[in-house]
Amino acid sequence: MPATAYRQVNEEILQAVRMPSRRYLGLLALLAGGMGWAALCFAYQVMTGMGVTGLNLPVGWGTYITSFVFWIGIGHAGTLISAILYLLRVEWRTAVARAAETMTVFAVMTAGLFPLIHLGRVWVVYFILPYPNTAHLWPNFRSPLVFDVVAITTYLTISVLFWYLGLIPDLAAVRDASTGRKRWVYGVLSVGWQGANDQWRHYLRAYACFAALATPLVISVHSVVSWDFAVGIVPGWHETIFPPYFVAGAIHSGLAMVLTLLIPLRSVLRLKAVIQPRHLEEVAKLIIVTGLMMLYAYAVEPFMAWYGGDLVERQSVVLRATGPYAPYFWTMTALNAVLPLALFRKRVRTSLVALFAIGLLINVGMWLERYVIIVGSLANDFMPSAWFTYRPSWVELSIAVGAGCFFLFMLLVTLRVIPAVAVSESKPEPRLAEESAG
Amino acid sequence: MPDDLPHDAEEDEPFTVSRRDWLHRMAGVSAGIGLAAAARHRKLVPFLSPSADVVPGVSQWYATSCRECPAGCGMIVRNREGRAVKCEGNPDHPINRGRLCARGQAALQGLYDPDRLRGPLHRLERPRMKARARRVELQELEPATWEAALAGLGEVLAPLRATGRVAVIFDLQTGSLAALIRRWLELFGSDRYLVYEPLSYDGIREANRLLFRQPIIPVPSLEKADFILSFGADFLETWISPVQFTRQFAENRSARSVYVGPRVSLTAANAHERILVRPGDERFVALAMLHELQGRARQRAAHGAAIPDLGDYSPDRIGPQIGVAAETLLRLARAFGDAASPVSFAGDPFASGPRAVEAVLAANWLNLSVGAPPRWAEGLHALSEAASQAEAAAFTEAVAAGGVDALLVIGADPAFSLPATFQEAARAVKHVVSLSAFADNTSETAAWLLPTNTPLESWGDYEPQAGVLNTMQPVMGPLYDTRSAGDVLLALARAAGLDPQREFGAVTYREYLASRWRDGADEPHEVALQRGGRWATPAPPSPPPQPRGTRFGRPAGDDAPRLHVYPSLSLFDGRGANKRWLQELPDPITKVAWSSWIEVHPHDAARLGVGPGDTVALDSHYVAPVVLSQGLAPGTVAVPLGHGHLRYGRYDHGLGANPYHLRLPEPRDRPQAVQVANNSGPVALPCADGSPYQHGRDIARVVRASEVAGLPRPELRLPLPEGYTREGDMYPPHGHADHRWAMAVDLNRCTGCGACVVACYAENNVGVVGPEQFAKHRMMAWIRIDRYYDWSDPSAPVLFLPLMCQQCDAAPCEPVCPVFAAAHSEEGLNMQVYNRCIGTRYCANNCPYKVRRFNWFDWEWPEPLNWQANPDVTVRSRGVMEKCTFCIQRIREAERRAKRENRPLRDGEVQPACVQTCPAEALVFGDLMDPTTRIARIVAEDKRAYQLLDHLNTKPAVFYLKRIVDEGQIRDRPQFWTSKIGACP
Repeated sequence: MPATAYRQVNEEILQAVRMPSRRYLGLLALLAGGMGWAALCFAYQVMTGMGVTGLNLPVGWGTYITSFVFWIGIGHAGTLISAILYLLRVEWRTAVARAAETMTVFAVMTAGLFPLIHLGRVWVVYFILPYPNTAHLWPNFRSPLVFDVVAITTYLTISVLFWYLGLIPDLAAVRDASTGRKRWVYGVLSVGWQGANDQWRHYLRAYACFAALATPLVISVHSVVSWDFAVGIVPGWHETIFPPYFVAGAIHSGLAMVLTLLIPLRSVLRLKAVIQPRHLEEVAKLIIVTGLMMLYAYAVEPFMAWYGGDLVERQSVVLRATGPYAPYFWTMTALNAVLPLALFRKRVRTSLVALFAIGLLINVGMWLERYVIIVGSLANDFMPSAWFTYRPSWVELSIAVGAGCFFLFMLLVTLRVIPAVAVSESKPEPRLAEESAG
Repeated sequence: MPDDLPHDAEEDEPFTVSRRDWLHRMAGVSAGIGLAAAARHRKLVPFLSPSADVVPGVSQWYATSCRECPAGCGMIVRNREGRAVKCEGNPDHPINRGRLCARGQAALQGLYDPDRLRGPLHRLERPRMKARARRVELQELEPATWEAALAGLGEVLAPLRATGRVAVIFDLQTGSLAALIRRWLELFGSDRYLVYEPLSYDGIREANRLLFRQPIIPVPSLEKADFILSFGADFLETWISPVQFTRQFAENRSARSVYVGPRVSLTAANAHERILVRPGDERFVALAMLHELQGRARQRAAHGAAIPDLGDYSPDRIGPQIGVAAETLLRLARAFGDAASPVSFAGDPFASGPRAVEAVLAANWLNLSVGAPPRWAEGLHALSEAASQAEAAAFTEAVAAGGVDALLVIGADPAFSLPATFQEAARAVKHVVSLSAFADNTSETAAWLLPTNTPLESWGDYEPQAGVLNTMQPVMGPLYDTRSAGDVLLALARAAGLDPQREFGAVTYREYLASRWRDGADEPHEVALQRGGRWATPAPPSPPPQPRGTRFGRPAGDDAPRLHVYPSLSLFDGRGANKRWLQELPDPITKVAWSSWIEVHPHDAARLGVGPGDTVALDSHYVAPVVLSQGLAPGTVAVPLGHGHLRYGRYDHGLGANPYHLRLPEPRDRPQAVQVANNSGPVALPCADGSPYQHGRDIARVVRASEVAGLPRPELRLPLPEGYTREGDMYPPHGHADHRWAMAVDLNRCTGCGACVVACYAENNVGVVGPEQFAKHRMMAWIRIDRYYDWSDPSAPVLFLPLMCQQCDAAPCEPVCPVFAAAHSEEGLNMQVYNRCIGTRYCANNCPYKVRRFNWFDWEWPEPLNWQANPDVTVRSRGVMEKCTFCIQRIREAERRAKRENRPLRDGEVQPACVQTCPAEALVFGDLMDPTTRIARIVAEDKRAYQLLDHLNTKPAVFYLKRIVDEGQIRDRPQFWTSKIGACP
């Protein structure tokens, strides 16, 4: 590639890292308002008690845990794209990897808020950590909630490191293109990157290592999250299919979120030339795969209930489809498993409007899926005398929306200060370097 | 040294402070800061000079009589550090034998009622009839002193001496207080008094007057009967002496029981067979049976001389008119006639008039017709002395006529239950004095409100049944500036210029009582007081006099919905309405709490165009939401008593409606019909019901009577190390130190009365959540009574299932708790460590029995209700999970006692609160590791034993014994696939 093309790539990507427009700032202010309101709601909940939620006696988990699982799921696409597709040498990942990784980091952070928010006594949350104390009390390592703590902190650590590692050459590029204090800040952040050959060699080895480390996490984190349910004995939770089902669902929703975010972002950040429709089409093809996996999982659940012969399990499947949460159930089935089939048509796959709409709807469907699994199962479990329904309260909805605001806020701010597409990877040379190194 | 400092120096320099002073002050300030930080916690003030019988940490028990209903059960009350904290039944008492019902358990909430009057009140300007201004004038109640009150009333009463212009209304009292009141009235030359009970059982009194010339209310005995036939008498929940009947019924469960009435009450739910007829038609069932049995009756010449002519009442003719198959009537008659020792009884406590009277007459005739030894009058009940509705109406008229200048209302609240004419009449009286613990409906017209002690703070006596004299003593010092009614009367007599010593032989009521108790007693009265009373063995019942001929009415052919009003299991006649434990106890059948309702049959609802939850008006008086119920005879609407107080207290204020206003002023022959008007759209009722069906899950299990003997040995998964299997268990077995606590629940004895639920609230400081949170299913009860009832099948059994923590050996709650707040104890209990709990609620999600309770808020404990809190149990704060502990504080107490006495624990020594109070003795608690205990024997031997959801292999330590049902009562079409959620709107 000629030198002018390099500069073009640099400029194209780096122009996004500039002073944002007034509308952009307005959007950020709006999101900050949403976060502030949610913070007030949370303070109210802590001062008053969990009764300000819609939770009740059979239904002890609701919108908060639904949102937790949802955001953890969103956090899966980034690692999938950056790690697994990197190891598989998929060429188109470069265009979307950075945004997807950034999304992952903040989605996991957002998810991590909810286990705190949903606690009855958040002020003693540190009891769950294995710290030395005079009472010799440890957390209960049989509890999936402790697995969660381990899995999620691990995932967050690896995701952040992986993301930062990938950023180093690009931060150096920003440093080189800027002056004054900004140059100093990016200089510190880019930890002395000069683009020297042995730097590249070490960098690529490290990157490959991290990719290899992160790959099993894509599978394990959501498997662990699914154990929160599968280890429980609630009919509708206690199913062996849950780990693969949840992982597929997580990637499904994460890819849909990539579409939902990138299609507007490539206009907002003026990255249309770098993030091209064909990249998005590749994402859509992956969604077809995960969508088919969802369809399979949805079909297996009733089959296993029938085949297993357990009366309560069978009834819970029937109740899911006919009971108080039936509208959500049918909506989620349509959105997650049926709607993606439309992507088999090239025309749909290449229409940005259709992709955006499908991505958004899959996200709605995936949120509802977790809601139906969590709330619907609890609402109709073993004791019919205790059956009751749940509806989120305004506090829960405020906090759920506020968490979304937090995610978008962090994403929008971050994509203004780091290159939204990997500059270095958009140039062919590093590959050659890597090949020579390997 | 501060003293050494010159004074002027201090004045000159305001900041001159010695080092010692500085340290003193800083110590004070830091202590103050510390206290301010701990402001939520209350100060504990030790006794400076403790009373001799108050030992901190040691309970004192005082025997007294329960006065929550006329039954008069014996009660002992636990006092800790000067505060009464728990009521239990007196184990020696002949009526209740150590048991109490839900209302008795809640008696303390009357004592600690936050809305009690705390001192005398005086109404400055008497309310006049100016309708609009009245509300304002009612506010003009001024606090007064007793001296002022007595002086003021002395001036009123002195001129009325021997004029006969004084009248008294009092609640049902026998013995000393009644005698004192009568003597007091005599001094004013009056014999006008009304013993007022809202539920007056007019039918029984009148029928016995007609039949035997004795207007009495007898107490039937179910003890030796082999056929129990009730015509609308709800003897398991409210009728006459329910704790006594519940025990007799549970002990005699093999006797066939049949209930004939308009609604599936608790009693009907527990009967082997129930026949639903519209209100007022019960008597025709009895008459049709009598028609069939009259041949036999004629042979019993001893009684049958005047048997009425029953030509018109053949089952063939009556059956179609009341909607009961003639074969059913014939079968019932023959079964009754063939039984060795049948008993039938009737007596609507609420209704009066021919309908109620004839039902009792017919039931009595049935008893006479089979010539069984007359079981109708095994004991004479104190209720015999209560005034009938007709007498109350006559009294009201007399007061309205103007012959009364001073009216004292003692303990009763007639304005709540009598027609509005009473309040009008009371307004016409110059001086109305209310002697009550509450500013109730009646006090609205009173010029003076003189607060009396609650029964638990009073000396007194009460004789509920002939030969059973209960003594009453204060179980703690009075909370407020209140006096006992007897003392007030004595003081009033003195204020009116009379000499109490001369007229009554005593200056205080306690002396008066002591002198009466001494009379004719062969033991010091302190002995009786300590025991709780004097209980002679009742004299054998005298044979009834020759019955007289009676006449009966005809079935009415109307089809307007007929009204059935019944006393509420929890609120009774309304007196329980300000006790929040009782408000929070759901009705056993509808599962509604904190609200009144109108039960309508779905057929009628369709006809009237009303749906569940619709707010509907009956006769434009009674406005409440509709509950659809198939446990009702078509053509009936049923409403519970108890709600709708205009004034009483905060817990009934603005809740529900008062059905007393539907009671007709005059008895009419025709059963009362009501107009139903659709008023407004649906509302959400506070209702504890999920799905009424078992959905084929076999949760509350039954067995046919004929199959009990042939049951195979049940396969139980014992909560002991031997219950461990390699293939069934994930985690290793638990060893146990000395005990493995377990419980058995005999579903065949449990009647579903809810006494255990309230006992648990009292023992374990369980929070009360109120109507809004109850409607959101956030109730905190550690033990609840599930009710399973296939409404679509009229003869299906109504199954009650008391559900507390099952203390599983392989508890699903334990492994999921991330912080070990849910942990297994050495004695097999699933402990919940409150201060370790972080509130994930995972344990509650994973509990298949749904017995864990989460503190959604810090629950309210308004002063002085918090005085009742059991000092041995924590009051939990918001954000933590809690649940049944098997009353671990009682286990520890017994263990420590045994250790101190250097002996092993005895079987039955530990009784959790629910076990202790169960009137049916359906619960058994003990150590499963010791094979000699009752519980271990039940588990080893009873073939009816099963564990709830045993297929989950949780190995519960609660063993249920299957309910034994009638041959025809098991249906093989469970509601497998219905997605119906809840019977409540």
